[in-house]
Amino acid sequence: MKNKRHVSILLTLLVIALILSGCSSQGQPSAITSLAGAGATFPYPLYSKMFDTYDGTTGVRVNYNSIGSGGGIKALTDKTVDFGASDAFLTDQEAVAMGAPVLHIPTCIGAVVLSYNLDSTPSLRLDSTLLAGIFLAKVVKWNDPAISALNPGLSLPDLAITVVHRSDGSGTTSIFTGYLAAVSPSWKSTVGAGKSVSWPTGIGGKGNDGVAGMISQTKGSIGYIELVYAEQSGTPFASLKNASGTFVTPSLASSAAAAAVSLPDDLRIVIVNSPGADTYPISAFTWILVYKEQNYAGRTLGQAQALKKLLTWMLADGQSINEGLSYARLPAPAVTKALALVNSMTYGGTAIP
Amino acid sequence: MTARKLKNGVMGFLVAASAMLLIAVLVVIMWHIFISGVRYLNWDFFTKAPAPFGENGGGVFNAIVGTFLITLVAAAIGTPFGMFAGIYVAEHRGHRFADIVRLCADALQGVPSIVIGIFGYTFLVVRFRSYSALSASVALAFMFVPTTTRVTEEVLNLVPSGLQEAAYALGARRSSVVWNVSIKTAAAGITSGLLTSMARIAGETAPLLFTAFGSRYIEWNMLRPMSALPLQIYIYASSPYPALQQQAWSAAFVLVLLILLLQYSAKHLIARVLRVKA
Amino acid sequence: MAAQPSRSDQRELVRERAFTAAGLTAAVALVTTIVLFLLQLFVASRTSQAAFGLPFLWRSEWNPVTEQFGALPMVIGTLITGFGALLISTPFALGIAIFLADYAGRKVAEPVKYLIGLLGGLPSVIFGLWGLFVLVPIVSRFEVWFGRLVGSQALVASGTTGVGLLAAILLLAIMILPFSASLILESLLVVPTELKEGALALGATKWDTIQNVELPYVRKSTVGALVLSLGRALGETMAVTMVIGNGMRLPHSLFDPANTLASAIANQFLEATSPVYVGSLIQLSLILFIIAILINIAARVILRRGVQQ
Repeated sequence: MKNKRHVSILLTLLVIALILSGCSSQGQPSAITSLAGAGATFPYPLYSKMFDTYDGTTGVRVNYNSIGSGGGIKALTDKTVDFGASDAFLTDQEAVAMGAPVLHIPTCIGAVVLSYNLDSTPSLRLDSTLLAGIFLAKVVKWNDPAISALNPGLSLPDLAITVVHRSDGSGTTSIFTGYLAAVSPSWKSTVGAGKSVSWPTGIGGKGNDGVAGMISQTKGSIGYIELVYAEQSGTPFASLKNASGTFVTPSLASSAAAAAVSLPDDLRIVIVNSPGADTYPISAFTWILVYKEQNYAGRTLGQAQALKKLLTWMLADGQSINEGLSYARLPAPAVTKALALVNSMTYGGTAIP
Repeated sequence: MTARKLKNGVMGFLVAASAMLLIAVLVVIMWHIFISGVRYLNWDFFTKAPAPFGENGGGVFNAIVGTFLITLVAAAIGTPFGMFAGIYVAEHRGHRFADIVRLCADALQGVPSIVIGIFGYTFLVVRFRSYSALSASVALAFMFVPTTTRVTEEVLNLVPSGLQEAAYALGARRSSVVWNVSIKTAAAGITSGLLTSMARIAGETAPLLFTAFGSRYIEWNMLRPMSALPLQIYIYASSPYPALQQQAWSAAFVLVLLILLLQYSAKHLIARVLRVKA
Repeated sequence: MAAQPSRSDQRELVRERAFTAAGLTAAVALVTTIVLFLLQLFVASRTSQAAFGLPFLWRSEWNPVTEQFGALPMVIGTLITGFGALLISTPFALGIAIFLADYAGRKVAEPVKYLIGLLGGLPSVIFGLWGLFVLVPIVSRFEVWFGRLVGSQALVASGTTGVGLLAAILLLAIMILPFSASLILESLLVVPTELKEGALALGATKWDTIQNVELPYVRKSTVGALVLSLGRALGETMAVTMVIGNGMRLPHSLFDPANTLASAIANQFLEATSPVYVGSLIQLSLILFIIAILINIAARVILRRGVQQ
């Protein structure tokens, strides 16, 4: 009967689907062929390329969802992923919520740039006071004398400044507001620093890509995004006056220079406003977060091994990918300390082979 | 006199105008999907996974596979529950509990899809410590069951009682009567209802946000995160890159085709039932 | 005759029992699911209940930074978009239903009904896609023009980006239109022809008949249909999320970005780290769940009374 046939066709399709899904997990039950991670959008361009290369060389697929540092921390807390990624290290509250010690493994250095949308695409120079003024809504028009003072020779329009910030929990926000809090006492007292802050003005975008998109679409806007995103969307970005008084353009070299400071062993360090003539003041590490003790929530030794292998690769061969995408490589001292952290991961108390 | 005639004419015009407006809106939307969607379609689009960040090309094969698997498994999970619940309600019409069951089916149908997604996350993803396509299928099954229950009940009630009574008269037990007589007679209608429900859940996004999680890879394993067409459309549409936005339109085109296919299959079966009845 | 039941009889008995068990299991599972949902949502929103209590419903601050949460901006957003969409779409839904019931011949009615079904079957995310790339730029241009027309600085300052309440209302109206149109059409089709013909015989015009005979006849079921459409609009997630702008403050104008209960959850759930934040979002979903059930019950009550008429 026709109807029986329809039902049996559906059933057959279903059986095929189930068999296929079972197929890939057969073969070597202990070999791990996929890992899951989530978090920061700041290094997403780099991770995307890194994991693609890693898949090509080892056949292990790393599925990374770029949902913002806040999302990465939540996913790791809920233990629904193998690793999280964040540009801000855990707050005390978050560390408590994790329930167990978490390692911060840096992977690269990036730059948070101020990108803007103006008709003549000028090269703007900004300094910390002006920046704070703009984001505190004290400087509201592009032709404000404070801006012209730093940029003589540029004719700036009589246009309102639209600030673009992040609407989600963002490590990039944490880096940027950390910088503002370090250089501007009034910012520190009114707004403060963190992954989410109460912005005095502006519109919100989701993720680095969301902010980049809003900047491209809104005339007269200015926002803070990672260097690669500005290059991708083609919007100009400003040179900032650093702690030594020089105006520095964000680049590979100037962000790498920011890491030439003494690093703590756990590598939880903020490198904004670093000293040095050539450093770009809003440079930052970004970290991968993993639990130090890998035997939790039923994880297998195989999973811990696969994770360790991935991290080791990212700190070694993987670093050759960084510069091609305008992220600075980790300096040698950072790599050494990072590898030490990775090797300190344990499974059931013993080191992971 | 003429005032009423005038009103008659004016209202007639307005009424026709509303219909025109609806058609215009639909045409505009379908036109956009078609024009923007077709532009990017190529063989790669159907067969490859997405390219890494910043690189052009790539496709949505991972999402196509995901939609196919997740929808089928959701239907497989939901069909037995939905059908048997529908059978129960039809067989026990008038009983208090059957009324409660019907009420619950209606209530479940009215639950917003995002709430289903939250439930999927707290109940399945967190409990089993991983995002997975299977948890997405279970979440979608919650949406599949109420419509299946209703369709099964309605179609069973249409079966002429004479047929059932004849079967009872021959000494058949209730399960035999229901299964071999009523269900068989109603099978085409039920199947077409199943296909319509599948078309509906294939387009759902919110439950997938917190369960399937999405994946750049072509994934066949239901226990891992997986992509799906609606999810991929949402992610690409929210990105600021024209190349990805373009892919969103093309993926939308593919999704609409899939839904049309399912709906056509459903109608096709209805047509056959009518021919059989006639 | 036989003292022992035959093998096939035994098998039949087992099948019978299994069948009955299956039916009962499925039925109970359905009921349990709803109860489970409610319980789970209640339990998971404990943290926010403990922090804010009942006033959560009317607190207007939603600030993840200071961990102060309140549902009011989302509730207002949900109500404005829902009722706004209903207000705009109802005249058109009525118009289309009346057109198909009384004016259109078979040749026109069938394709139009098919098109309505098509529009109604489009996934929400595709409406969102269209809304984001086609509707929002149009709304943005309108907002700029309107702001210039009215000359209000405040209006312009609040937003001319196109995303916001206005775009969400328009998009929702388009989305619930097919649904309410087909429900009203269904009820119009059961109006007894004798009533219509009687009126026409007395000299009424077509519209007279519609206005004074058909519409009053279907009043209750139309209201029921509208309530169901409202329920549909209130629960809509993806399309609204994509065009409403994710605003966390109380909206002051239709041009402001805002959030509905559903869109706030969709936008923020994956990154809510602190327990209070997560609990608050789940409490929003509990509120949404309860609203959806209440509307469902209201519609049933109205429709039952309509049928008895």
